[in-house]
Amino acid sequence: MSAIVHFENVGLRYGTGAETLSNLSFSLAPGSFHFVTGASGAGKTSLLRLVTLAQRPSRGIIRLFGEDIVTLPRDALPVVRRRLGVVYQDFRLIPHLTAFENVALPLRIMGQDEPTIRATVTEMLDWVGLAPRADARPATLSGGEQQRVAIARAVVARPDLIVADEPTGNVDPEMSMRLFQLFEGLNRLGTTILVATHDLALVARFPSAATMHLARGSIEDPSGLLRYPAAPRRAYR
Amino acid sequence: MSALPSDLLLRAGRRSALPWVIAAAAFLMALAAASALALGRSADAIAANAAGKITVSIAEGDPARRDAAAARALAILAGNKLVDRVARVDQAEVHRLVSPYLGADADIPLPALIDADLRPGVAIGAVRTALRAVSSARVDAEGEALAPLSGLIVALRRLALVVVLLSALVALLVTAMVARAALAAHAGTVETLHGLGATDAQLARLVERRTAMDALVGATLGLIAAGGVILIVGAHLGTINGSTGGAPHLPVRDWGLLMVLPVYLAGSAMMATRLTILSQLRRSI
Repeated sequence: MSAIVHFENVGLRYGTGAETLSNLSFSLAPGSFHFVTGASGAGKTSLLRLVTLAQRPSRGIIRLFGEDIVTLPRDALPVVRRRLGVVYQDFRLIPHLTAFENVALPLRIMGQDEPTIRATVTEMLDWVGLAPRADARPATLSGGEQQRVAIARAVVARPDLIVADEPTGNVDPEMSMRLFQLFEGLNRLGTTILVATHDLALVARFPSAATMHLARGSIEDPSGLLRYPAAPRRAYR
Repeated sequence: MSALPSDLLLRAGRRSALPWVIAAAAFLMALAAASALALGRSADAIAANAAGKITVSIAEGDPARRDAAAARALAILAGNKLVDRVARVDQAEVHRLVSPYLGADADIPLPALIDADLRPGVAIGAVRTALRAVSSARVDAEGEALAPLSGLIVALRRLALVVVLLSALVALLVTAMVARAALAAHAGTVETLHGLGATDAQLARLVERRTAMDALVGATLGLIAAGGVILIVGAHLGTINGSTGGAPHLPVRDWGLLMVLPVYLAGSAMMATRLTILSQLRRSI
C-alpha cells in the first residue's frame, strides 16, 4: 500500500524570509506511529500545518492518501481533511458549544444523520470518560477534560491519520500517559499517528514508535528509514 | 442529514445592528418606491388626460368677427374626420376662467375657445392645416402645455428610483460588512472548521441563514413603519385635495409590490453574505 503521507524535497517559507522547513523528504506508512521531536522553533508546528493542510508548501511535493495536495484544487481539500483527525496544542474547542456538540462537529460536517451522530458521539465521550460531562461547555471543563474532548473530536470520524501537536503541553504526566495509551489503542486499530512533542522522556516510553527529529527546519534521517520506510506496517519500529 | 449548529459563527442571543440598519434602509426604500409608484401613476394620468386633447383659440378684437371665425373653425372641425368631439367653450365660462387674473369687471376682448379630442393617430399638424382658412385660429395641444409638469414628475420619479437603488446598495454593503466582521471575529473557529473538513459553502450557510433572518425582520419593521407614513401622508394629501376620495392612495397592486420588499432584502442579504464569505474564504488555503 502507498504511503499515507509522502513529502519530497518540501520547503516552506513564510513571506520573503528564510525557509522555515528545508528539503523535507519522508514517508509515513499506513498504520505507523511517529513522533516528531525537536527544540522550540525547529519547525514541528510548521510541519504539522503542512500535513494538516493548513498551509501549502513553497516548494516540493506532498501527497496525502495518494493525493498530490500541492496541485489539488482548493475545492477538493475538505474531502482530504475529513480523513484527518487533528489534536491541536490549544485544543481549539468551540467555546459556546457543549462537549457533545464539539465532538459531533466532524460528523455533522460529513452530513451524517442525527441518530448516528448521537450514538457515535455518546460512545466516543464514554470512551474518553466524559459521558457525564456531555452537556458541559469547554470553559467549565478542566484542561485534561478539554483535551479529551479534543481527542474525541479528532477520532470520532474514524480518520486514517491522527496528527497531534504537543498534545501533552497542557496536562499532567498521568494524563499524558493516558492520552498516549489512547493513541496506541487507535494505532492498534490501524490508524496512522503523527505526534509532535518536545517531551523526550515521553517518547522514550514508547519505543515501538518511530521518531523524526527536526533541527533548524530539516529532518535528521541518517539511516534513510524515514525517506524510504519498509513497506510492511511497523517493520521499522 | 444533520446540519451544523446555526450559532457556530453567530451566537444565538447576540444580535448585530444589522436588523436596524436593514429596517432603516427598508423604510427609505419603501417610501421612495411608493413615491416612484405614485408619481408614475400621476404621470400616466396626466398623459392619459392630455392625450389627444387640443384647444383652438380665436383672438379677434371685434366680438362679431371672433364669433364668425369660431363658427367657421367649429364647422371645419365638425365637418372632417380629424376629431371625435368638438365643442366651443361658453364665453361666460371663458370669463369665469380669466376673472381671477383680470378681475370680474375687466372689459377687454377675450378669445373664443374650442375644445376638441383628436381621433387616434391624428397629428395636431393636420388640424392646423385644416384651420389655415381661419387666420386668427391658434391650435394648442394640452400635452404641450403640461410638458414641464410631466418632465418634473419624470425627474422626481427617477430620483425616487435612485433612492431605492441606493438604499438597496447600502443594505447590501452593510450586510457584506457584517459578514466580513463575523468571519474576522470567528477566524479561529473558521480555521478549526476548515481543519475538520468543512467546505466554504457549509461555512457560508452558517452566516447567510442568520443574516437572511435579520434582514427579513429588519425589512418587515421598516416596511411597517413606512406603510404607516404612506397612509398618513395619503390622508393629508386627501385633505388638501378637499376630499378623501381624491387622495392619492396606492392601489392594492402597488402595496403588493411594497410587500415584496422584505423578501427581496432578505434574499439579497443572503446572497451578499454568501458571496462575501465565499470570496473571503477563497483567500485561505
